[in-house]
Amino acid sequence: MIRALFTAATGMTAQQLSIDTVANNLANVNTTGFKRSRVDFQDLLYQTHRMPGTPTAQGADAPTGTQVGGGTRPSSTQRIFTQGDFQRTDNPLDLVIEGDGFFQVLRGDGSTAYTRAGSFRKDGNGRLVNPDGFALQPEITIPNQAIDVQVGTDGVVSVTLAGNNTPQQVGTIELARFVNPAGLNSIGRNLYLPTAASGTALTGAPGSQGFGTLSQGYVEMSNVKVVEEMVNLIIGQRAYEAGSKAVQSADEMLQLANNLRR
Amino acid sequence: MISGLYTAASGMAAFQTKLDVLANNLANVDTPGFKADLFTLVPSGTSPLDTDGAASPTGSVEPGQTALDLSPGVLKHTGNPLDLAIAGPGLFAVETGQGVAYTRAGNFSRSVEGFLVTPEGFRVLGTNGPIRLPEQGVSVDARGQVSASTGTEAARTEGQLRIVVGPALGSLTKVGANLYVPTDGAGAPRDLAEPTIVQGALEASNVNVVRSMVEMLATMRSFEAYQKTIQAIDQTAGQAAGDLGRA
Repeated sequence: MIRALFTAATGMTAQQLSIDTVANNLANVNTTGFKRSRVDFQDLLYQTHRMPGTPTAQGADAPTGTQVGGGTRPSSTQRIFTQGDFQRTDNPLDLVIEGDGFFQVLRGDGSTAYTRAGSFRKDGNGRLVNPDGFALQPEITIPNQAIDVQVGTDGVVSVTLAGNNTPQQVGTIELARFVNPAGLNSIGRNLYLPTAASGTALTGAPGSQGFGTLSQGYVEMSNVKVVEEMVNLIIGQRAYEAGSKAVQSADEMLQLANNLRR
Repeated sequence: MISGLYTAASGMAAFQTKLDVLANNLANVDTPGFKADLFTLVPSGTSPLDTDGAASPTGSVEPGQTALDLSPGVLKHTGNPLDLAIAGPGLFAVETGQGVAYTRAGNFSRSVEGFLVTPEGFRVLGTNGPIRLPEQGVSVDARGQVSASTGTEAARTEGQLRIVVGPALGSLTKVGANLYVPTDGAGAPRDLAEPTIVQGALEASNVNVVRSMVEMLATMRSFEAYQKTIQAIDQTAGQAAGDLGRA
């Protein structure tokens, strides 16, 4: 059979994944703390029909050989951890990390997950939790009588209690950092889990040792750029179309070959 | 008469290979750093039948040759600090399990050990061994010097990317995964003294879709022409064998 059929099919499958990724990025254009993904492709193995330098029929050495490639495959989907824009919310429990770092939250199964989405709220016991109810680590409890909450750029959380004008410190938010954040495993719900590729979490106070600082009253918007995704969508769709044309050409050539014998 | 059949069949086979090459180019239209393969047909020269070396009408078409289209791809801005593109000639050197390979695809990342690696985890080589990245604030200048810039302290040089150029066209063989290895006997590539590196950008594939489409059409029609030739020869042979004998 014509190899081009399968070669073109690998291109079409790859572009399908590219469109899937663009669609997910676009669907999360308004997701707090979302980081866009990108698919990287690479070429598949080559069949070398003839090595360069092989003597030709004319007695000379061929300056080039014959290599026929087998198409493409996605090598990875990579998350791009660039900073998203800040959106002012004035909600005192909305936090944004300016720079490197992740918030740590405790999942129901006892494991720690990491997130850039800093829209926290209080649960029934006054603990700071994320929208799924996972408690921020280290745990911070806002007393019932608190009338005001302040979070410093260094992560120190202080509250002003009713009838007392001096703010009281109730805890410090710690951030986590990874050697290779692109190697984190996305588990949905704006959460990431460490993997062997990401390395283990290094924790520290905001603003220290290269960690980002915190800003209160803002959330980090998605870093998806709609125009960029639209361009990627066009590229993906046209590349898919090009693949389908190659399949059609291969099909027509097969038909011609079959018609050799009438 | 019969040799004409073989000539036409060899032409069909060659154009089939050409379609395979075109399909591979089109499949890699979005592969970073990809260089298209150019396919050229070569006549095999004289047929073994004529011993006096005269031009023969009964030659055939050899499977053809592929050469790398070394034209640059468009530099696509990504903003990702570990995306590197080479503007102009040169290839990155990477350390694979089977020795040093070369690539134009600069979609690198940081390994857990802190090395600059390809998506396969192959370490990118500098002039003094693999490039180890600083903890944060990676900055790569136009000459490929990797340094750490945290903003608070002076930039610290961490290494110099090794960029090589091949000795000649056809001196590199594609091995897949965006990698090239030197062809046997072609000699090792030499280091490029003053490369131009762009940080935060990727070189797009240099496949020209319009040209590939036109070539694909031409390939199909050439294939068809050979097919018609075979049919015509077949018909002539049929008449020679059937109709002549009837008289």
